[in-house]
Amino acid sequence: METLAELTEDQRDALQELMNIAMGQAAERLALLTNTMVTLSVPFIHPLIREQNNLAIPEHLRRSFMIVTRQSFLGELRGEVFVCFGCMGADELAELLGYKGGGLDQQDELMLDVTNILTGACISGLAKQVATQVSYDAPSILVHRDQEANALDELNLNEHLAMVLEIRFEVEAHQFSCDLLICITERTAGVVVRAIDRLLDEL
Amino acid sequence: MNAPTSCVKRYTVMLVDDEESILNSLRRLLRGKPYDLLLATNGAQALSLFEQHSIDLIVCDARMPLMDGPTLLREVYRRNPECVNILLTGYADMSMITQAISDGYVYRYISKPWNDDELQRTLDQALEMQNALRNRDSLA
Amino acid sequence: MTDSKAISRETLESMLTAINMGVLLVDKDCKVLFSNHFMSINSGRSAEELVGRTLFEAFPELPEVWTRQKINSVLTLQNFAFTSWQQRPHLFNFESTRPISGLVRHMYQNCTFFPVQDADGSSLGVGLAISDTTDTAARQLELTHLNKLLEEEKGAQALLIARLEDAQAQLLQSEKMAAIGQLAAGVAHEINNPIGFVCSNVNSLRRYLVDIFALLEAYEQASDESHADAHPELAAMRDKVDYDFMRQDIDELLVESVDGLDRVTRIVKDLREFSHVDSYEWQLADLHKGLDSTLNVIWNEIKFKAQVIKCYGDIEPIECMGSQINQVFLNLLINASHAVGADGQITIRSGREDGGVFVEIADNGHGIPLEIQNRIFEPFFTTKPVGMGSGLGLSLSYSIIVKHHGRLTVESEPGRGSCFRAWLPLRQPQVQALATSAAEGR
Repeated sequence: METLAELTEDQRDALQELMNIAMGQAAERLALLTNTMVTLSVPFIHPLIREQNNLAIPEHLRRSFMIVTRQSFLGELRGEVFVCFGCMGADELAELLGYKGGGLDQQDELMLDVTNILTGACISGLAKQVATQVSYDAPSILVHRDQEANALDELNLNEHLAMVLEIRFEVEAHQFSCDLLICITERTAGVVVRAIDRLLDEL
Repeated sequence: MNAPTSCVKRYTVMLVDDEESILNSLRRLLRGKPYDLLLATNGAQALSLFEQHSIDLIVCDARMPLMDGPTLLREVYRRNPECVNILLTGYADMSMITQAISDGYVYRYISKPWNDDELQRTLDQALEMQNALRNRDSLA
Repeated sequence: MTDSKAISRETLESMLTAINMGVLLVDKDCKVLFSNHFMSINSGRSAEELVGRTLFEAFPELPEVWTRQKINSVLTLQNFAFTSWQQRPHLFNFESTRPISGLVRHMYQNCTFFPVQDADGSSLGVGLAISDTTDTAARQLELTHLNKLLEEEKGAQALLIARLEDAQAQLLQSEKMAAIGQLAAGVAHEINNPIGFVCSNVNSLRRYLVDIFALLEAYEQASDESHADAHPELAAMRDKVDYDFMRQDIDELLVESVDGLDRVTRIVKDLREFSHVDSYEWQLADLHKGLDSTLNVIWNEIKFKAQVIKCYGDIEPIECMGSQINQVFLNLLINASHAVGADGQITIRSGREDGGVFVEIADNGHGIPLEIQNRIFEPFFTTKPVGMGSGLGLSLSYSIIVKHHGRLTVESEPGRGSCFRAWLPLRQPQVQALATSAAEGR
């Protein structure tokens, strides 16, 4: 089983390249949808996070969020995306996405919508690069604002993960930002590695 | 040499306490007084002495086994209401004492530990009062 | 292996129609292209009535802006979109699918929007799949409700437990105090008897000695010089036993002994006074007497720690349970003695105020930090290390004062000292005094 730690430097560069393309395409489509400037940061590829069989959320994300949502992607590429929202200017973004008024349920729905859109954009982009198709389940709220800040520590996230990608999404004009953690299962990470190798072969 | 005839009246005083040391210390205290002292360590003994002698004043401990002070004094009062009864008490059961006083069979109480001078004064006053009553009765 | 051609379009369509969830197909303008049986049953409108109309004509309850945006995003991103019953319970206004047993009026729904392409791969429109989650929703809502009730009950129970613990602590403490009081009374009684006769005997001894020495002197006077010469052993003996010293010392010895016995008598009296075993009822008490007897009882504790300054004002006796008020003084004085350092000073003030009497116990000790000043009366709150002090003293003192319809307050400045002030009314409200007395009195 190939793991990230065992990737050669060439392979890592190729992976970075692959991700950049995917994210670029995702950003384009998002801009089209929202009619505003969106930025998706250069994906930061985490080395293998393996801590006693559990997923460890990176420290710098742990402290600053309010709500964490999740959505699964299924198929040849399989895993889950976690989106960490902090305090943000959700109201203006809401309008962009067709919501009116406020209310906590609306806020939750807005964040689930954003989760869905971002996950779809990023994963579809990645899936295209590795020439495979994925399907999705509905997003849901993992950690709610009412729960304590360290509720994440108590979650048992399983699966030894081969690949975790961290991406920051920003809509500048509306001062909105959130962080995505794309977690690909060890078993299906091979799909990505094979795509990387194909890329390298083509060079 | 003949002793001069004593004009000082003598009284018969009975001391009742279950502790002998207390009786002895009282005896020593009252040595110089014109009292004929009778000592008893329990109620039964006290009553038997009471029958044998004409007693003017009793100083009696409130708490004794078998028969306590108030019971004894009530009995004494029944037999001779003229006898002056004084309760010596270390146990401050005020309600019992005030009841005994208001019922008439106890003249006064002295709390332990007693003050020697105070005790002597109390006895003096008690016997003076008794004298006054007797004089008044004899005149009547 | 089934030949896919064998499954005809009609079969597929009838599958979609029959499926037990809502299926819709709309184009980019939200016009309905297909609607299945589920939608008809639940909306009360047939497929013919729905197809060809816009979504919003067919289902006027749909929020138009939001829906259009949703459809749009699916088309643009070529991706799924979802709604969940938890955020948006009723997208379509359908009646509950549990018309008899259900407690909800409308159907709870999870909806999925998905892009649909036609045969040559170009975008045809957006499909909607509507699934009925009424059952799940109902169960979830009930669980949430039950949880909320449980939490509330938990909260109430925690409060009750705290109050019970408090009451138990108080009961324990006053039982302890009552036991100590009884012990003190018993010991006092036992001590009184022997002290009584020892005192009296010492006085008798004094009188005897006066007589004995008078006799000795008489003998001395009577014997003349010739007698002294005939009995030289007398002079020798007089020196040997140091007669002159004894003669003089005996007086001092007896004075000191009587003084010692007086002190014992006083301590016993103070102990009885302090524990007030005689009176476990509401009585008129002079607080100065209580303060004095309390000070005497704990003098050993505080005499090396602080200088006590009494500034007694003009007060009158108040209606109270003396033993309990003394307990409060004891607690405050001991606390003050623990707070002071070198050159410790404890000042006691009293006076009349507002139809009552106040007693202030002030010290020049380390004071109480502002942030805990309103916590010091809490049961079990203590700043002392484990094993030193239960943290109950102040809370008990506080409840004793409150029971007397008084007030206990503190003013403190860290580094300067603290001042505890107890105010008590002259008299208790009539009904209360009787009720409490009946409950506690002997």
